[in-house]
Amino acid sequence: MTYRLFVDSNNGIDVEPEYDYKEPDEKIENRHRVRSGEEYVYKWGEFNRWEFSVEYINSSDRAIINSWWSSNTDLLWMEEGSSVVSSVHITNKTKPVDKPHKPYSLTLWKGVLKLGSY
Amino acid sequence: MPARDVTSWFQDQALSKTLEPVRKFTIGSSDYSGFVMKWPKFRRTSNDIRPKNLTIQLANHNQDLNFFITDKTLLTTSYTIEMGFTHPTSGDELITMFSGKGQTVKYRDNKIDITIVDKFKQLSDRVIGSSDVPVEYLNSNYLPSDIAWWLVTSYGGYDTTTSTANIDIDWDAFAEWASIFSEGSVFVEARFDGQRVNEALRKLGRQTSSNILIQDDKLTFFRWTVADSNTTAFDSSNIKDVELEVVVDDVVNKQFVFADYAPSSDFFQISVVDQDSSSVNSFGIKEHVEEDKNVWHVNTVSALDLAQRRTQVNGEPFNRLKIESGLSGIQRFIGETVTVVDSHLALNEGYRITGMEVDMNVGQINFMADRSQYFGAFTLDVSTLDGPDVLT
Repeated sequence: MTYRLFVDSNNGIDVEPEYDYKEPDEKIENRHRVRSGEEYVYKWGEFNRWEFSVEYINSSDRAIINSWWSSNTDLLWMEEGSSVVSSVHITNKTKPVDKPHKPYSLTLWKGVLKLGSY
Repeated sequence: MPARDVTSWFQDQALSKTLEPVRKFTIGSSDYSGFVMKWPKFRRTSNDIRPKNLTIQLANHNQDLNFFITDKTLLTTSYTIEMGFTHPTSGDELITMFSGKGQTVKYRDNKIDITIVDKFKQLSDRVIGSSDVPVEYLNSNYLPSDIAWWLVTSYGGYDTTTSTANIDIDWDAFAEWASIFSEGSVFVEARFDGQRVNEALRKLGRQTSSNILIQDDKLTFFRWTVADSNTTAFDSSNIKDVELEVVVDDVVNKQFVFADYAPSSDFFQISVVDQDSSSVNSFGIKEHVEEDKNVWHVNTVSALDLAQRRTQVNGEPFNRLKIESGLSGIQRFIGETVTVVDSHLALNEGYRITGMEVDMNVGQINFMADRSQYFGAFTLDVSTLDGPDVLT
């Protein structure tokens, strides 16, 4: 399953998520439980999220991903061959691609990517 | 006191258990809802004529809101915060929750806090007369409503249109309020030597047992009359919690009113007193004095009417309620009457809404309601001066 994370048709990278890929979308809502026990739910909105590990990222792609994370770049995200394109930001608290693969030659990297729609 | 003018579909939505409410924030005519990070809380009450403000937090990570830094006059444009629901075919039906002008902007990190202040601010920024050149309404019988109109239009700068087209004043409410004084021959005189317009209004409201507040971005005047039918019930199906408070210090059972003030001699030529003996026997004497050198009644009848209103409303401590609810009462106005049902407190009776605390971020509205403003209003309209009839 290959995905494309990109700014435009000329600037992007292919991403191969590992098996921990998930889409933990969130709702923004409040729940009010009244005295009778009935519940009122007010949903204000929702947004999409994607989380997965990536491995064997070369130094060039690593630099691009981490740069997008650092600058909160507006990105696009789609599964290759799909017509569904989502607008996303990289939402990691810390640098996403941050661990080198053994033997630590610093040519191949791994990390966790967290994406959120905006 | 009418409710907000909303469709029956809107009312059904408000009672729905699964809602997707819409919140809208506009600066001038531009929609900035998508920038709001935290929707505001605000509070209104029926007897507080002071400017109310709230702060709304917006995202500015793309510097979209930097325009205030270069053009500060944009702060004084109009700001509106609305809430409502989206009809599947006819679009959004929204009600204005708060509106006003910008007061401050604060840029911090990638956020911006905008503080908005309501229409009372304009009244609190302006004064009436001075100690050298006071503004006087003397030597004639003035209706309180006439003086109120002159204060807010001539000195407060509000719209002078005498129709529902008035953009600052709820004309229908004002006309109804004014008719109470003309029909009851309630007359006052006034003298202002530097008071702010909202302070003068507060004094006028006090002397006439009136409530003056802003709703739907318009200045509204009213004095409680016979209770409207209670169309809304707050019960266990929409109350999250309810507090009931009784405060003995609410009691006023001996009211003095000084009237017919003569500024030249600094002397009140009339004084009246009304006492609720039953209340005095129960709670001891609780006296209150109404002596105002800015607004005063001109005759004994008007002054006694005020004294009697006070002792009848405040002769006994009344139930004060704070009702926590979701959005089921979103369309309610301060001043409306509601039925409150609570089995634990054995309540099943009418109350008048006297205040609202709205938390737009989570969709919670707390209503303040009290029984004096309901039952008392009804009692007041028993015309004790000329008979036991009930005025309608």
